[in-house]
Amino acid sequence: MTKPFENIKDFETTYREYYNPLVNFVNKYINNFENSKEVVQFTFVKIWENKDKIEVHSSPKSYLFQVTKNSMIDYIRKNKNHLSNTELDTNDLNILDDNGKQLDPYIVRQAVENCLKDKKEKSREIFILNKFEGLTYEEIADYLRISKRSVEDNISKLLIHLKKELRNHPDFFD
Amino acid sequence: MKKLDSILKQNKEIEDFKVFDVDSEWNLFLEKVGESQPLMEDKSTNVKKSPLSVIFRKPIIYVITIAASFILILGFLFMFKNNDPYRTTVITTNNIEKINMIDGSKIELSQNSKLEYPLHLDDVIDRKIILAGSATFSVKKNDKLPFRVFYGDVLVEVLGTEFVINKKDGMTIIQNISGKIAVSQVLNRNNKRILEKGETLLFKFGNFFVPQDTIKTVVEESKNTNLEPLQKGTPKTKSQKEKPSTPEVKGSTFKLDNVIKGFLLKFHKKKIKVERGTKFDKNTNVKIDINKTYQEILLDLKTQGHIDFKPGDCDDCFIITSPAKKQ
Repeated sequence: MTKPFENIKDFETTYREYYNPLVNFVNKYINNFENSKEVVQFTFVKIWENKDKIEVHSSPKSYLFQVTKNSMIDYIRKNKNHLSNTELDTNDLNILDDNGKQLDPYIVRQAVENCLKDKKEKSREIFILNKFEGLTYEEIADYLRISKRSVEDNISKLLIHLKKELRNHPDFFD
Repeated sequence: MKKLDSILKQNKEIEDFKVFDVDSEWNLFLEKVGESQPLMEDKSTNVKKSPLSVIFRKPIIYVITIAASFILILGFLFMFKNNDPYRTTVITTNNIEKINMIDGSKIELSQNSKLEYPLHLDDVIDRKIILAGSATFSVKKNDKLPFRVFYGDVLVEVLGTEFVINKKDGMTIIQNISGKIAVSQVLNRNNKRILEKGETLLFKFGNFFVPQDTIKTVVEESKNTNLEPLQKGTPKTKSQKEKPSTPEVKGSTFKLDNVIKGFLLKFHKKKIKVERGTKFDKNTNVKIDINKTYQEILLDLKTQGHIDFKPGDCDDCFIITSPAKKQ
């Protein structure tokens, strides 16, 4: 039982860590980035205002995920009329997710984006083709008309970078 | 990190991922919660880490690097601070410059010359002059502060005298008018000669030698009162002053290597070649008169048994070969 949101310094770290993954996660269901940002911001404000009462039994990540998910469901219910075209995939959300595993791809994706930020368009493409699309090295080499060796080099360099980025991430890959 | 790979594959499902500026969102958050602005600024700097704090977290080598660069910068500052106020440089083009140094010495700088001299003689060990071109010096006697003139490869040291430094055809000419001066090679102080009053010394190819009659015309004749040849020793022997050598000896002593590479090959590139595999003793001292023609010099070297030569492709071309008699 911990109170992870008491201190503003720690709270800011958590905020910076999870803001983008959460917004993108919410956007998957709301399909509007502006509204998603509002939901996430609202969630954080709510947590901060109740920081003295909150007691986290699991990790901050899973707690954040749960609260955000609830805020999002509230939001969708409230705006049902405006968001008629948005269908809530309840199957996804009803799965009992105690440790926020659904958020992991978003956290990793943020790290990937950070790594790829200053990389060339080519290495970005290679990485996305291999890791997200699941193409093999040979297929990428063939598709981009480069050597297999260069594909391998690019990916291994980016992976080292990515692991470094994720190593500092709290409650991740523990 | 097998987990990472499987999570990466899940990324396929994320259709559109946008990264928003967390800084501005965090500011918005703080506004909403009503936290004070300065706190936020403090925090943001804490998280971003200033470059300096990053550097100081790194191993000691970084600290050493910074310290070294500071020392370097300080060194430069010190150099400029020291050099500028105490020394000055005079450059002449078509004019003649007369310089009166603070110790009373006088320098007359000839045309197209450059001279660096001290303005202050307070914390110095010598009166150091750096000269390019030619100049006449009249040095005030000061036993504590030797007067040192750096002239290319040559160093002239005096206590108090009058002398002229000049250059002609790649040859440095030092003419002593009164008093006594010591002339040496900057890189090899053992290669040293003492010039008595009225003597003239020439320097070429790392060797000092005494002028022949032909060179007298180069130096102003009026000043050549008693031009006596100096002792001609090898460069390494210590100077043997005050014993004028026999005037019959013609030419000066050079190292064989200097004569062939520094003189014959340098100034007669097209005429003289060295045959492949030619062996000669580079460090032998040979006595030649460099005012002779190259044919005569070659002949002299051959008669002394240092080298041999045969006619080359053209009428006045020669190819240097190994000495015939030795092998």
